[in-house]
Amino acid sequence: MKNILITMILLGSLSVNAQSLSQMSRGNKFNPAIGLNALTLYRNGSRDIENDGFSLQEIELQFSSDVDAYFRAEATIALHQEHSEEEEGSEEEHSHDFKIEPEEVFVETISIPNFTIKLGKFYANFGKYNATHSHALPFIYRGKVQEDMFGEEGLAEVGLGVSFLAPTSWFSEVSVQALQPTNEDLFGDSHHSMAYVLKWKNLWDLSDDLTLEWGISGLSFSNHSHDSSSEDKTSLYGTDLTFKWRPIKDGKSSSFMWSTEFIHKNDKSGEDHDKNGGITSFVRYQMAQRWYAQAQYEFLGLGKDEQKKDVNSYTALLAFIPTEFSSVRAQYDSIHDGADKPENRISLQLNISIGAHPAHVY
Amino acid sequence: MKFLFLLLILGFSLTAHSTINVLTTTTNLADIVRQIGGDKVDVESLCKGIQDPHYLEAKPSYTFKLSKADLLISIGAGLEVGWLPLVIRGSRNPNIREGQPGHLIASQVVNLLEVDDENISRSKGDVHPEGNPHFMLSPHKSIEVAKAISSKLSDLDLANKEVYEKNANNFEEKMRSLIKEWKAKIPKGFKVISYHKTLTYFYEDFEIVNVDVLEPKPGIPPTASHILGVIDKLKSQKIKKIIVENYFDETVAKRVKKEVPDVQIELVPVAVSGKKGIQDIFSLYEYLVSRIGD
Repeated sequence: MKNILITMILLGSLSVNAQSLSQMSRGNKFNPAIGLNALTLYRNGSRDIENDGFSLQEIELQFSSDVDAYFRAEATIALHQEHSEEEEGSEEEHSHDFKIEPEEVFVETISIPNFTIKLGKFYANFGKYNATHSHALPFIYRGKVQEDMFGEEGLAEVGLGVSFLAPTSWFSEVSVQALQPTNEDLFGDSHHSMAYVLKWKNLWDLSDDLTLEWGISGLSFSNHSHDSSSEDKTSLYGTDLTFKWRPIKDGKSSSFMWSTEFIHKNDKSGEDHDKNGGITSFVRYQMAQRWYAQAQYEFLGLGKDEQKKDVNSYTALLAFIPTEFSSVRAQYDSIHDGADKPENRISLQLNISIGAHPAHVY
Repeated sequence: MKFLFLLLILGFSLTAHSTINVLTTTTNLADIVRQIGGDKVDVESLCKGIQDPHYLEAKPSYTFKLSKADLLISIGAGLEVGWLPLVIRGSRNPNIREGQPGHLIASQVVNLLEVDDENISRSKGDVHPEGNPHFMLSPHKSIEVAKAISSKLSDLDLANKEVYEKNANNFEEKMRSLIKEWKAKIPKGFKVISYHKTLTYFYEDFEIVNVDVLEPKPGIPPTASHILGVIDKLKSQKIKKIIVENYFDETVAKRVKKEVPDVQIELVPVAVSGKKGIQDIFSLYEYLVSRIGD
């Protein structure tokens, strides 16, 4: 009740402010570009049945604008439903509360030639898909390998990043980031040093229709809770290779893409050493202007600890994309993780975008 | 040490470079730059002549090219909004950002048609509130753009100002005399049906009436009920031609022709190098006149 009252007062003061602002007839031109992405999901699976049915998978509010002659700022605020289980006495309680999170809020330089310096909270530039926002992911969920390394929402931390284009005759971008570790899946709950991320991304136009992208990534940090010794370091390595074909002629109605990513983690910190690696590979074929079919295979268990079980995951997806602003996707997953029965799941997702429409990364 | 050496080489190669490195988003703009700048400029278009500039992707190779550009010339009016901002950001070239001297937005130097700021909504399809961005298909507007390019090149390279101005004057003279010839070839009030509203400015220059478009709304593929309406108009108004821009699919127009066999389909390029033999903006307009007019 108190909350509602406060909200009402707040809303009231907001509308008064908005009115007086518009009366002064200024400001609108300088408003940031605002966009909203909403992902509505229906799922039905053989496990975690409490997550079945309809849900708001994620809502992303994006704001972006130049700050002044030197900086540009971007903020992505994410709202998502979080399923949690709490045990009270002998009874289990399920809740589906909404969580608000600053997915990315950063400032970057726009006036320095050749270099970009970035400060704030942002996705770690590791591999091909970690820095992709939920609405732009190639499949409905992040891949199993990604999830195993960084969790369901990817690795986004507060820190500083520097990137530049190398003086080569092709597109070659080097980025270095220093991040404050908070991600539970990667860093656990003990204290760590700053995490350093290095990525080298290259792209070649093999022809007007075909491009080849190749990247290598590395991430490392050390654990502070033990005496510093070389055994305390955690390191991740990754490499990714992507072919994209979109013919110059009729490129609106046919295209093909093949993308493969390998990530290996070697965590020697803490008591339970954690070593595992995986590969994700998918193809995307565009049959018509609005129709896409995709298939993905993932294997987790390369260079792993012996006690870990292999995971094989198979995914198929069909997408109907009426315009740049909406898409309907149906996905089937079959995850074989060593349990008696594999996890099978169908998902249906509606993805819409309203307001400013930021350009998508190639 | 090695890095310093690399920087030195880079610095040297920049100073040794005397022509202006220009990138344009479309081939129509690139051709005008070529005609105005001559051998004083190196120019390349990111979009190929048979590609729809609205649907390009933010290829890193564009980013790479823009990082070395002295001047970027874009159409604006939302045409490149899906890819160009990202390419500019990635290029880390502060001079070519919007509003900087190294970026000329052509739509800012011409008066646009179909400006709709009041009742704009995406339910109307892929609309541009700033106005129709296909103004490079107007011979008249191409003169205005040529003048703007000439003055931009002069700003960047004062020493060759006279060359650019002379070339712009020649361009205007040639274009004006050709417009007269072309006008004589097209009957006033000639009626056509088009696929998309790409040729609006061309039609305006030559007083051609575009009765309807095959797309029910911009960017939305034709539907059966809409096509039935178009067929009615073709029959009742005795329209002889359907104009399809060559980056769209001809299939629907062919289906219409089955119902109205007398109608003629013209698959036309709308950009320089959009078809073999269309090597400059004059030959593009010439071709359009010959196909649409008769």
